Amino acid sequence: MAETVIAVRDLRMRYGSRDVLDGVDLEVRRGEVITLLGPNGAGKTTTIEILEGFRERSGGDVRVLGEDPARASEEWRAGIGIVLQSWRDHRRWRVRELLAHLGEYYAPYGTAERPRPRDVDELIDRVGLTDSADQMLMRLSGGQRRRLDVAIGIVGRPELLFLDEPTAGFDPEARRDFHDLVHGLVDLEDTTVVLTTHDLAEAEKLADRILVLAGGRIVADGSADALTRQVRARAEVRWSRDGQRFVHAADDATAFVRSLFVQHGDEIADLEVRRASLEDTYMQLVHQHETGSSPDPGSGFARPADVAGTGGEATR
Amino acid sequence: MAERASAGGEVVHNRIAMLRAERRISRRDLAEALDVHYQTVGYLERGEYSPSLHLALRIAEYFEVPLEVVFSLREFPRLGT
Repeated sequence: MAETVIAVRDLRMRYGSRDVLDGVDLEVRRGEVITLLGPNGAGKTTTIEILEGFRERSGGDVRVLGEDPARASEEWRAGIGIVLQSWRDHRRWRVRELLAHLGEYYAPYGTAERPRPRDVDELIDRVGLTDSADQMLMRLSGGQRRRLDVAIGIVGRPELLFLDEPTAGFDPEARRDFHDLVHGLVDLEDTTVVLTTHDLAEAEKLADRILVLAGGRIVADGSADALTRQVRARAEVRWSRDGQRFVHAADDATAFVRSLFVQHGDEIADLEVRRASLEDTYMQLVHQHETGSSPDPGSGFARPADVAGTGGEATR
Repeated sequence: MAERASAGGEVVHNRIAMLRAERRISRRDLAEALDVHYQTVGYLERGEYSPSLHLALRIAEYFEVPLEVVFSLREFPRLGT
């Protein structure tokens, strides 16, 4: 079992009379990529800010890299990388200048294992800003600005990197570059990554484990595949026979396909089994939470409220 | 009203789109009730895909009509003029 990097027990956060976090438990091990999903206002950013040491919690135990973030040292801070949702300052600084300047703060905390800071030109190349290295920040496009945010987050070669919606504003190619960058940080430098996103395809590609935060608690915790299996039983099966295309929704797709071949044998072509997407799963988890209904793996996707006027449970 | 003539396949006409519009049910609601993907409802309505017998029965049950109200081997008569 790898070393625990983040350990949180019964984390609570109260603003006025409202509990934003109501007993969050989570654990992250070294080298893991964790994605925090949840509707707006679910407490994702609050959770991350507490883990980063930027926000005092109302209650609970929090350990990050072995220390309590609320009372951690400068040395501890040097081990953390942060990419916030938006940066708008340093308008007149140039890209290389700013990265070199920020990097210097990390120099006293370098080790043989983790030389700090990173070589600035290498870093600029790595985030794809070589052509803009001498540009003023105010002249960068939104996507370039975001690449710079990521560079700032990793200039100190962090052990633990927090990314708050890192790819907002990225085009598909920039997004792909960013995913490669994260994979490199994790695979080659043993970095642990915690990110929030609303892009479920991104969560599926990047995360070893997905945590769904709703109503101030973690309501699901597992790989994209595990979560998908948790909420949905029925899969869609498509095939063609004699030039005609068919579709079926099967509780047991494997058994259905077996019977299809027993019945039609070689006539079956273009076979496809499509399980629920992470998006389907996420929507159902959040919906279950909002309506207070307990998880019911057999219920598929029909929402009683939605079909009430159209034949009730006729489809079940 | 959808139909399709495929190479060698039989044509099945359906009135899923009409029933859905008449009852003001969204494609997404129907997809969720049937446990199929959103796009699949479109494929079914356009006749690009035929439902399995079981799925066809569930569609009819969902609309609370007999199967032959939704599916037919012959083209459905146009409503109105």
